[in-house]
Amino acid sequence: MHELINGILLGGLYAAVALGLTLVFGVMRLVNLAHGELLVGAAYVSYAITSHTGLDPLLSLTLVVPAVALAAYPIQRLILNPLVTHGLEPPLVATFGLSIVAQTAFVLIFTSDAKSLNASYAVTGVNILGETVPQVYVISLGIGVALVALLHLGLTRLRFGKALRAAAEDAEAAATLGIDVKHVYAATFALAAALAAVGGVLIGVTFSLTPTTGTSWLLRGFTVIVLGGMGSVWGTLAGGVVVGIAEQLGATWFGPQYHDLVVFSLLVIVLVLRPQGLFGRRLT
Amino acid sequence: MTRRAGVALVCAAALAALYTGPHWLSLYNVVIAFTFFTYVTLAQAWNLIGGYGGQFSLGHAMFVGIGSYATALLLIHTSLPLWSTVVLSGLVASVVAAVAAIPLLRLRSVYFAVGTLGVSLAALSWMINWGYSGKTSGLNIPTSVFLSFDDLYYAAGSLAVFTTAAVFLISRSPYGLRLMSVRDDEDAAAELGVDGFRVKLAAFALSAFFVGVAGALIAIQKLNLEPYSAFSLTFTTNMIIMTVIGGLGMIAGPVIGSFLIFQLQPQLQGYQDWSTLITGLLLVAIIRVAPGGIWGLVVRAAERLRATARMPRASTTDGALVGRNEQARAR
Repeated sequence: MHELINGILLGGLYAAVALGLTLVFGVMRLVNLAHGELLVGAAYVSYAITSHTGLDPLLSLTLVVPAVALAAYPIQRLILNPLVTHGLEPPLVATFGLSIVAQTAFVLIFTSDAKSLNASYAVTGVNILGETVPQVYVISLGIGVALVALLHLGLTRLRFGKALRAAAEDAEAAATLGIDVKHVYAATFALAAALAAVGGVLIGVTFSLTPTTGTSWLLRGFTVIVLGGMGSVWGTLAGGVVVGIAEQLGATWFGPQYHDLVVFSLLVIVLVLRPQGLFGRRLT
Repeated sequence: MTRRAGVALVCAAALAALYTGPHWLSLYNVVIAFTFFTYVTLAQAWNLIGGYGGQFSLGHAMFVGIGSYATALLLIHTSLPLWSTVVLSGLVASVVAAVAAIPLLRLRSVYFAVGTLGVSLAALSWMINWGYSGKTSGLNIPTSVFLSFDDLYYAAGSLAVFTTAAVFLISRSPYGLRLMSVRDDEDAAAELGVDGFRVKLAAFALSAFFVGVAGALIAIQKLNLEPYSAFSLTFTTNMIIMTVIGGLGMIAGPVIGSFLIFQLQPQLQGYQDWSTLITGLLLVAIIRVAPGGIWGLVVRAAERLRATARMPRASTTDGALVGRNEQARAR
């Protein structure tokens, strides 16, 4: 029961972590190996803001989200856009290189020491069905569900969302219809970074950060989106909950020191057994 | 014909220089040449699966760690001669690679990359918790094992030469052709009767063998090992950076890339992070501007030179046509 509740609650956080990854994959067929660094980078920006101003980490999102999105747009436009049409390896190498650059930049700016974002709701507990869980877990689920719902609405109702889905379906056809595909791609990447910023700050509040933390979050995010069906928005939430529960159960069965092993094994098992995902695959 | 003779001459001169190295290099350079040779080996081995095979493995650090630990465990628990533990360690890495490849190689492109990264990190977290290999405190190589700096130089140097020669011969063999056909279009290759899975599995296992042997030498040189550095993702990162910067899927690529990175690092002694930052930026720049890497640029420049040299008096229209044909043939 304990594992079930924690797993479901953390599932919301995992969905927030993975949404940007699934969006970029769904639109551009690009797996962003630097996604973990988007998460961690946003958390570090929030750390810089909150440690100087004393602002609440979640409130700092009002500054962090636009900052990260603004930084992400030119990365896609200038570096990745020309590569996405060049087969699979070049964009993979490029995002891999970007992740190395970002990780090293984090070490240079924030040192290798673990940091975390301090907030009162990370330490106070709430009672759910007789189990005491950290308040931030509940907040994470709320934010995760809200992000998934908003993204779904945005993709289906907004003009930009429709352009984005058109570009995902057939970039050439979309271009002939007057959609600026290059801009849509870059804006998608910026939107993904904005979503990652929320996930990253939640990670910073709930867990802790080091410059290399991003790698394990990339793998966790990837597990979530493979389970949810690559590119599926609601699937991401379902995938997040499944991964959350599986991780909690695994840690209980094998012992907490095998926590990482459970996560990475889960990824491999999921990849091998259900590469098509549990819940279909389609952008929203 | 003359070109081939030239290449042979350069190779012979390089081999002679390598062989006599300890006589004319300073002790410091003999010591750091070991690291250079292991870099070349690792990058060249990655090039086999990543460059010629087109399988972007992010898990190769695992085979360094397995080679290191296998050697340490064999030296501690058996009385086998040193050279055979080194070869056995390579085989252990190779067998693990073959077993891991059975599920992993069914995944294509990005899925394979992320899958190998997952396996590599899973192996690291396993080693952290495995009592037999000393958990986080790791293992020490028995003190009876001692190699001089010259011995280490020759061991790593021969391995680098052997690996490069092996990858070169593989790339020119019928098997190499099958491997590259699978890289370029797996479905089309399958139509022609090439079993993509088996071809890739062989390349993956072979690649892991060389990496495992290099890992064994690294362990013997360091004399003690612990999981975080033995399975460090930095190994994978270096292999990929060196291969891509030098030239992916080209025999000279990993050698040039390793040399370049190796030259860069002492310049930034004490600024390890800056050197990583610069190599990372270089990687992004290369893949964006010159995806063939440095060797790719050299080859293209040489082709252009030769094409213009062969038609000095042709009229402009003819020249353009000849030039195009030349280029087509060169490709």
